[in-house]
Amino acid sequence: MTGGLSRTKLASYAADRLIAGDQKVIEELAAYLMTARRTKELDLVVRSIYEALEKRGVVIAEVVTAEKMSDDLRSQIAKLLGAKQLELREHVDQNVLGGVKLSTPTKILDATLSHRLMQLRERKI
Amino acid sequence: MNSFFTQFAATEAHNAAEKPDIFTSLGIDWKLLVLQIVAFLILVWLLNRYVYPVFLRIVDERQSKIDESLKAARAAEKSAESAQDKIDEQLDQARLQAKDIVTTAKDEASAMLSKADEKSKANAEHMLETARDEIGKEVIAAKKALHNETIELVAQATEKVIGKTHTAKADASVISDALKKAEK
Repeated sequence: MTGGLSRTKLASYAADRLIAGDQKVIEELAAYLMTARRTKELDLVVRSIYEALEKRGVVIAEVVTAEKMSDDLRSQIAKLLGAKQLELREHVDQNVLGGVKLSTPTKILDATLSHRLMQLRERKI
Repeated sequence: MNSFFTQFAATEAHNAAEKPDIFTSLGIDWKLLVLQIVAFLILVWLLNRYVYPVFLRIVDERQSKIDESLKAARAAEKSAESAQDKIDEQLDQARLQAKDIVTTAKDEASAMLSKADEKSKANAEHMLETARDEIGKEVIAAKKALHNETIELVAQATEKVIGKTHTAKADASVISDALKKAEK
């Protein structure tokens, strides 16, 4: 493999194989990036894979709340994202005070109280 | 003396007795008369020649000096009159000039006062305007500070209140509302 493949093509290929249940593609991709001396692009490639997966209905979302999430909340988030397959990575952070922060590879919904207070503070002149 | 006259009279009488003409009868010696006439003429000539001219010259000179003096006196008088006129004229001019100078000085003083007054008014207005500007800026700054302080206080108070009173139920409600809004 020579260093001519674009990130989008790599991500698309990896996403297809991951959906098909082939986890080995991750190792192959890592080996390719090392061989092609493109390890600096690792974060971008991972992000591109997330985006490619999202386009295919597989969403990996990070959720930050002040309290532990309930099943009701999980179902509401799934409904909101409308994904065929959803993987939620949940984090509890007391600093957000309340509300929820939902991040997908392409969107961010910050409805936390700390964010609202920050927005209020940004209104300072 | 008496003898002289007596002798002279006797001589004359003797002569008269000798030449009984008109001169003799009148007691005139024509020779003596001629001599006297000649002497007189010589005297007149001498006087005319040497004395009268000197006198006349002296008189003329004196007359001319007197005339000159008179002329000089008249000229001096005229000059004095003229000088007095000139002095009067100069005094009048000086008075007029002094009056003009005083008037001009008054006008200039008035103008200077007016100018100074205008300048001081302008300065005062400028200072007032500057003070207004500064006060306005300070008011704006104070409003900003108050606004920012209020926001900070509200944020801090909200943080504290939420930290103490926010329940899981309330949080779920907040999250639910946020997700519903996001759906829309």
